[in-house]
Amino acid sequence: MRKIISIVFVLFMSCEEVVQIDLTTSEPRLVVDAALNFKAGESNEQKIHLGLTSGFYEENNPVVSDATVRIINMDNGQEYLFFEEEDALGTYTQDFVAEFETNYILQIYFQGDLYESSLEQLHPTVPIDLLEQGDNVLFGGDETEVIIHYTDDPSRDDFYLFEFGYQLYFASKDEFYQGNPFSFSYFYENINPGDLVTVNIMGIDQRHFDFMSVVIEQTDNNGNPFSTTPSTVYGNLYNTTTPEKAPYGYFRLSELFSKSITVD
Amino acid sequence: MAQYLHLLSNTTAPTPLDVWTPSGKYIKPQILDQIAIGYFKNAETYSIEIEAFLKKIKNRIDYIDSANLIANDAIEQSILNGRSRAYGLEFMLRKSRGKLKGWVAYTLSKSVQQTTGISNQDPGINDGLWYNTPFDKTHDFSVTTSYKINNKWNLNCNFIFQTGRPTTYPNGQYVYDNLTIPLYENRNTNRLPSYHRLDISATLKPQKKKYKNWDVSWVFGIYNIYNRKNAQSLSFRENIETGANEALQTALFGIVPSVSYNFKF
Repeated sequence: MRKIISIVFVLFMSCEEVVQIDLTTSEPRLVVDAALNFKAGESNEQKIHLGLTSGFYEENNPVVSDATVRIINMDNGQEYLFFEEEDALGTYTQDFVAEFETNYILQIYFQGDLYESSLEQLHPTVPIDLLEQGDNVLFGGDETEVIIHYTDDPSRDDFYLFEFGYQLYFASKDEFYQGNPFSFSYFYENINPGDLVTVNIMGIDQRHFDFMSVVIEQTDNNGNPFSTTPSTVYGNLYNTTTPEKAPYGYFRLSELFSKSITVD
Repeated sequence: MAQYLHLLSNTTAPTPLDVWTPSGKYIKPQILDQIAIGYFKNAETYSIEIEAFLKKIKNRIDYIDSANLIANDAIEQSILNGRSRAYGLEFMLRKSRGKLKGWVAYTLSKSVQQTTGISNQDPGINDGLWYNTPFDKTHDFSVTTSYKINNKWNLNCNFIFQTGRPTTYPNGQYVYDNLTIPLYENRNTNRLPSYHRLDISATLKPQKKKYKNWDVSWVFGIYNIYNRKNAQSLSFRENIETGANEALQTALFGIVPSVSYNFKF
């Protein structure tokens, strides 16, 4: 029997570089940024931002002016008309307090098309019991650990959205801690002693949990090396006049609690 | 032909991830029908092969948009059944005698699949239309040659050109809740840049044999001689410093010199 043995010396090289790839730009569509949070003791003024989609490499997104924006209480028919701010075009404001177990829709009329959201309710949540600084680090070694403690409500299936500031979000559900106290650590990068860190907890539903989970993954800079082919995500808004020109964004009503600590 | 293992390939991620799943209660085996017509001619030094093929595959699976495949116990909830077809023309010219040997091969092919949804509300992947499979390569061209200088030295050279693999690029962005969210084209609408490279090598067979029965050779080679950065994958991200979006290309193997020592006994 003949055997073949081969000894090979090679240098392995792999590199990442920023390249210029020409991309097409889809036709501009309406973007509805209507994430309304309700925090006890805060002003009742709520803001809805309207804009258009833009090319992937663009630095700024165009705003949408002269739209008619209203929230309708579907249980009693009361309407809340939002007015565009004169010094912040594309931002529409109104004093509005959502109530629990009441159905609302968002309605927008813009350039001959009527856009509507699905029925939405104000989603309750629980307060943050304790926010504390930990001394664990991740691989980089210079992260700041912040531990968030809260107690889940045993009477319902909860979905939570956490906002850590710096456009950092995390979505969680109580599947594995129904009715129990729970805590998790969040690691901040590039944060200095003396900085004030604020964590918000918001109540959301399963649909928004799914939406935010995908969005968080798609906007995460570190990237998931095992993620599948990305695709466009749609929220809970529809174009009733021209259904194929569906808008992007989401209309959500969340109860919000927040807590802050100063990092040392 | 039937196959009971299904490949869920992912060409977009920086790590080319392949998930294999067996057929079972929810996943039917893939069934392939294939027709091929060919012409083969062997002459003294040259031979020629031309073949046309058509393949039709039933129960070809693909994952749904935004699926999570890692450590997923219920993978059947993340996939849809579809069908696939491939057709093409293969051509090969081979020279098997003389000092210069080698072959030229060219394949022109198309490989597409269709994955429809389970209801009217769920149109499937890319609205249930035909789209490129992750392996579709329109052109696949290669030249392999070997030249015998003398009994000691042999020169080898090969060149490969392939159309870039299908992938998915973003085609817009928007802002929601302070997050800049990308919009994507339909799955596998775009292509990575074309792949091509040239490799050369020289083989030395020393005449003196230290050990009678040993057959030894040295191979000195250079892979990808003009150092083409062939894209393994392209990803898109927001630059943390500038906040602007950018494309990031991962390339494996630029120019690679190699030395190998072979012995047979």
